[in-house]
Amino acid sequence: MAAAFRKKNNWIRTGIQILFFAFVFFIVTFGPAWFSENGKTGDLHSICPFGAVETAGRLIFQGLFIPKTSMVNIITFSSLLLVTVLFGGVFCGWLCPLGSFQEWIGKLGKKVLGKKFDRLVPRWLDRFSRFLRYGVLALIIITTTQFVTLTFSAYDPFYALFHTITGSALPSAVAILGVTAIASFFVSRPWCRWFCPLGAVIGLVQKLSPWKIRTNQGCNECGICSAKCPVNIKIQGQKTITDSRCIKCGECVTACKKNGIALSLPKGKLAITRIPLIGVFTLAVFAMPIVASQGVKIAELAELQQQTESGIPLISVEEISASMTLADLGNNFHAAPEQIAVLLALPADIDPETKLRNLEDINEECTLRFIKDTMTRFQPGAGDTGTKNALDSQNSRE
Amino acid sequence: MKKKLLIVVLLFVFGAVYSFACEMTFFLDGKQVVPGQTLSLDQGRSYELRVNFVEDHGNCPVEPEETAFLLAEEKWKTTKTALPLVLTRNVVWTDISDREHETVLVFTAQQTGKTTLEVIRDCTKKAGYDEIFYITVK
Repeated sequence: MAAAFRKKNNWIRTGIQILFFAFVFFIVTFGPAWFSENGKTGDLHSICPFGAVETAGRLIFQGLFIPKTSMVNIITFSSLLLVTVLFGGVFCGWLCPLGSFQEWIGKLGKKVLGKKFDRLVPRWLDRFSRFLRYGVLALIIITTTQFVTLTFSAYDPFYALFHTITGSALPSAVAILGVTAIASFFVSRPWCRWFCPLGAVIGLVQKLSPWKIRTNQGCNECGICSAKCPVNIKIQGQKTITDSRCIKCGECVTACKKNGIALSLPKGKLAITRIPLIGVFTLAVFAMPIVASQGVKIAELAELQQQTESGIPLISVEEISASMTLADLGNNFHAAPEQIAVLLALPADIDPETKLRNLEDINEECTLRFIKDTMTRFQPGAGDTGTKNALDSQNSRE
Repeated sequence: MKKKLLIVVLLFVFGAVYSFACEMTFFLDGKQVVPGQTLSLDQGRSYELRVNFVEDHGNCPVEPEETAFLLAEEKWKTTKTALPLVLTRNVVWTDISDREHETVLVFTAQQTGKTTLEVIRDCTKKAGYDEIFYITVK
C-alpha cells in the first residue's frame, strides 16, 4: 500500500512537472501569436516571476518597469510569494522547469552512476556553495537596477532552456545551460543548489512558512530520507528542516517506510502526508495568473478587431510612436496608407512600411510632432472627407 | 585545499561582476545616467553623452546604426540647429567587440526649458528598446 502510494506520488510530481514545462514552452514559444495573426510570439521575460525581482529597484525608485518586464511579472511573483509563504519552496520542487530539467538528467545519471551519483562535491563545499546564490542574486539586482536592462538574460540558463530553440538565447546563456546539464548528470540539481537567484529569494521567504518538513516519533533515523533528498539535506535526526534549499518535493516523506516524516505545522499539527495536493495547489495558483494574462492579451486583440470593424481609432494620438510604419498608422486610424501620405504631404508611391521617424528624411517637416498634430484633426472613417478636413485645418493654420 | 577552492570560487564571483554586460548604458560627461531620469543641463554648456550598446540576445538583426535618437520628437541631427540641444558631431558608432558598440553624442544645451530624448531600437519579433530621458535646461 505504502509502496503503491510512493510510486503514485512520484508519478503525480513528474506529471505536474511535465505539464508545467509544456505549458511554459507553449506560452514562451507561441504565446498570443497562436490565437491571432497580430499577436507577437511569447517571451520568457514576460511571465517569469524573477522579472519582478529584477524590476523591483526601478519600480520603487522611478515607478517604471525594466524593459521587457510588466505587471504580469509582479502577479506571477505574488503567486510565488503566496505558495512560498504557505508551504515553502514548493515551486522549485514541483513546477520550476529548469529544476525539472536538471532532475530528469539527474535520474539518468543516477541510473548510470548508481551510488557514485551526487558524491562528487564534499558536503562542506556544498554547504558553503549555497551562499553563492545570494551573491548571484545581489549581483543581478545591482546590475539590473544600475543598467536598467535585464543583464542576467545573457547568462540565464532558464532563458536558454526555452529560447535556444527560438534562436534568441546568447551563446553564453546556452553554454551555462550546457554546463548545468552536464553537471546534473553527476550532481543533483547543481544550479538550484548553488546558483539559482530565484531559489535564493524563495529560500529567504520560506523561512516564514509555517508548514515545514518535520520528523516525528516514527523516525528511526535509517537515513533513507536523506539519501532520497535531491538537494542533499541531512534530514534524519532533525526535528524540523529549516534548510533554505528544501524544495518540498516530498521525496523524503514518501520514502519513509515508518511514516516518520510529514509536512506539518509545529508539533505535528495539520500534517500533510499526501504532498501531491500541495503540488496541484501550487500549479493552480501559479498557472492561473499566467493563463489570465494571456487571456487579457487575447481579449485585447479581439477588442482591436472590434474597434477596426466599428471604425474607432485603435490608438490615441499620444500613442503614435516613432517605431510605427505608415501602414501601422493607417491601420490604427482606419485609413489607407495613400490617404495618410496625402495628409502628410508625402509622395503617393511612398513605401507603406516606412517608419514614421524616417518620414522626415522624405519631407523634412514631417516630424513625429507634426504627424501627431495632423492626426489630431483627422476624422477616421470619413474617407476622403476626413482627409479633406485635416488638410483644410492644416491650410487654415498655415 | 579548502582555501584554494575558496579563492577560486571568490575569483569566479568577482570575475562575473565584470563580465556582466547590458543592452544600453549611458554616460553623461562620464557619469552614468539611466533612462526615465531627468537630466539637468546648463544653458550654453557643451556635453558628451556616451552610449554603450551590448547585444544581450542572439541573432540581433538591428544594427547599432539603426538606433534612433529623437529629441523633442524629431530626429536628432547636426543640421537641426533650432532644437533645444544642438548636436555638434554626427552620430558614428564604433565596434568595441563583436557584440559591443559605442557612440559619443556631443551637443550644446541651447535653449532653456524642458524636452525629451527618446532612444529607440526596433525589433521585429520581440519587444525592442524604447526609453526616454527627460531633460531640463536651465
